[in-house]
Amino acid sequence: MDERQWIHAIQKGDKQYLKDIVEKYYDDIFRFCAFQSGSGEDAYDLAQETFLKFIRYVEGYRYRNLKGYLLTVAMNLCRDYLTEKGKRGEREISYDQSVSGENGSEGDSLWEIYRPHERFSGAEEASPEAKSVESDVYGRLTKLLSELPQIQREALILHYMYDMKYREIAKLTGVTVSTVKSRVKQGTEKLRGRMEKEDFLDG
Amino acid sequence: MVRKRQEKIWERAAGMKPDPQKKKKSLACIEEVIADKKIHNIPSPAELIHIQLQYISPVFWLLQGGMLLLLLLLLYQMARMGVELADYLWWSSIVAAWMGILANGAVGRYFSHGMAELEQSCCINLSQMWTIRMILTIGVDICILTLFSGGVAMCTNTFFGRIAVYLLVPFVLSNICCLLAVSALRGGRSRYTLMVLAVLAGLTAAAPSLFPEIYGTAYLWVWLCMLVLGIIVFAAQIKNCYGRMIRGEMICWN
Amino acid sequence: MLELKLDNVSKIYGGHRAVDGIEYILSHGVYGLLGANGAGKTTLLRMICGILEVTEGRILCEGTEIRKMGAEYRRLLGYLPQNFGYYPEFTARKFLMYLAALKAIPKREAADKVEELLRLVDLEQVKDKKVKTFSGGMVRRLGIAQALLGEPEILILDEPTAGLDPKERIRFRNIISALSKNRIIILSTHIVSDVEYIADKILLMKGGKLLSAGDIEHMLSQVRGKVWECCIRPEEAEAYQANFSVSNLRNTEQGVKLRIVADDCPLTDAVPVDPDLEDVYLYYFREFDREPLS
Repeated sequence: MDERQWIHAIQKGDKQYLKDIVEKYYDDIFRFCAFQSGSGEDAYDLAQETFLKFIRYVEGYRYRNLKGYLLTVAMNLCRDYLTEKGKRGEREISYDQSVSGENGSEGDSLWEIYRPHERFSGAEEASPEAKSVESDVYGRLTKLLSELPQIQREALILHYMYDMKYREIAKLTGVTVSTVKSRVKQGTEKLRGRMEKEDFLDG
Repeated sequence: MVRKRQEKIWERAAGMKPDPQKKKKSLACIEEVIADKKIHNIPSPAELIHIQLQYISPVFWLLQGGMLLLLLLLLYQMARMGVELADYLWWSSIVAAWMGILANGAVGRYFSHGMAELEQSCCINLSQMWTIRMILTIGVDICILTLFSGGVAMCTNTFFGRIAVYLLVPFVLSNICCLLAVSALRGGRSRYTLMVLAVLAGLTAAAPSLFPEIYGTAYLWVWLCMLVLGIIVFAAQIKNCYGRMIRGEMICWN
Repeated sequence: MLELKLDNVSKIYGGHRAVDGIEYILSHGVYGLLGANGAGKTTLLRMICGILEVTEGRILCEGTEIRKMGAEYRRLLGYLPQNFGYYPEFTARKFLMYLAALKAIPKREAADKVEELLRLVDLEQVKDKKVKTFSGGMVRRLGIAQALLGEPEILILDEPTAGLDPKERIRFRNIISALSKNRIIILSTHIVSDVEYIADKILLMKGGKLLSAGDIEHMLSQVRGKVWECCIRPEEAEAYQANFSVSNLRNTEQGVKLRIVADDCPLTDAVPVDPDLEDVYLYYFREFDREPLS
């Protein structure tokens, strides 16, 4: 059964396929929320909320691009989240306690909650160094991304991590293709500059 | 070179996965919501029309069908006899007026029998059903009258649009009067009132045929004006009725 | 937790305030809306159903105005109007199927639900008979059945037991009690015994205003010490009835036993007694609708 048939069945009353959709896309949505919001901990809540919203309004959903739709919902939730955070005067992410990988006072530090060693296929237990290297990558990328303006970040993540074309991103974010292009370009430039500075580009 | 490395980093980032424990907890939460979720059925416009059609009273079908049959039979008969335009028009105007009465009288049925209050509180409420029913019935009637006009046009060598105007005027006017009766008068929905209206409307519709010159090209502009005015008034009337319905004025008589 | 908020709700006809500034928050449970005829109960219920436009104030469901929610709000409703009519040519089953269609219940589901509800209100034997052949009580039972279509979360019943005999009333009470979990049920009536046993909260309405609201214990406490019982001579009975609010009158061998609701002791040898809901009603309304004896 493909997605379109899933949606069709759900709208006719077969709720079970909702579970299939959630399982299929949870990781993708989680990842987006983590990098966009800058908070791994909150990413779980944001991803959850994305799916809850989807479920709440599933009857009115017209199938076209399910992944894109879910990403749009996630994107808007992240925007609200960041606005809220901004209002509360919090910096978008705080990195000071995170370098050594020790547990923060409240909640896990950024990379403890990722399981980087899973990237190593077949490896039962990756070496602590490998672990920390990988989670380091995520953490540092998140940090660098957090320095970009929100909308550039969105465009970059969608483009590089989800392989979305400019046209698709334009549709999702509601702007013109050229705007997307410029956001991606500027974002990439900035990111490259920061990466070079931070000596990120090793291995 | 730099670009490639940047790409690599993105590639690696794309492999990031959530912690299984936390993911499990999150999923469990979502599953709970799914279990509680009741899938609402949002009926498509086609389904709404289907519901309408299922519950329309047989009397309506009888009358509507009867009028259609009447039009066809008389058209055939008159065509064979080879009569003048005015002859076609006097009885078909009566039928056109009756169609208007039937359309609004049928809808008036929604408001009698004490069902209006209850229906208005339903998901697909009375104002929606009323609107759909009006559009359907009047739309079909207009189609029938237009096609009929085409038939007459062929038999009398007149432009079908002109004949359509002659027929739509009594149709629209009787719609206006009947809707007024049904929505404003206390006794307006009873069968008795509708029959009285039908007789009056029929007589009024047939009246122009007493003066055949009135169907001449000289007076065509009068008919056109009446049609346009009639449409405007009827549209305003419908809007007003709809507004009154959603505010509850038409539904809660006491 | 479903919450319905009445925010200074008023309905004004010309100069007349049929409903005047009602402020209340409803959540799960059974609410008894008590008041005389013309107190504005039906008007209020119609506004809650979204049928009648609110002149002043707002009605909010979980924080959103019901006006804005439209069909999504009506999906939550089950309504039994006071003047409940029907298309006479419909059979009981067709009637329920029709309403199920209006409530956007898919046909498969509707068929099962209709059977179930007909059984619940004991109309299964007559399901294929035309509604015009039904007695008043049967029509009301049909009305209750339709109100339950679609598992409404907000159930609004306007004088639902009118025309029901005592056995049917009890049956109705049991049905409602069983439903009260996770639902807001508003029962409007002027018959106190209908709500005495099943209502979690009582709302007293008079002249369009909400006089008092609270659970039964709260209501009773308001007239505690204001209900008296005394025994008088039969000749005096009429005079007493004219001058006091008599909630009950009984002829006994010792004379006429009166139960009086009054702020002060009406008679030297009158004894205070524990109030019941009818005393509360009488205290507020000063008129008493006795239950019909038939």
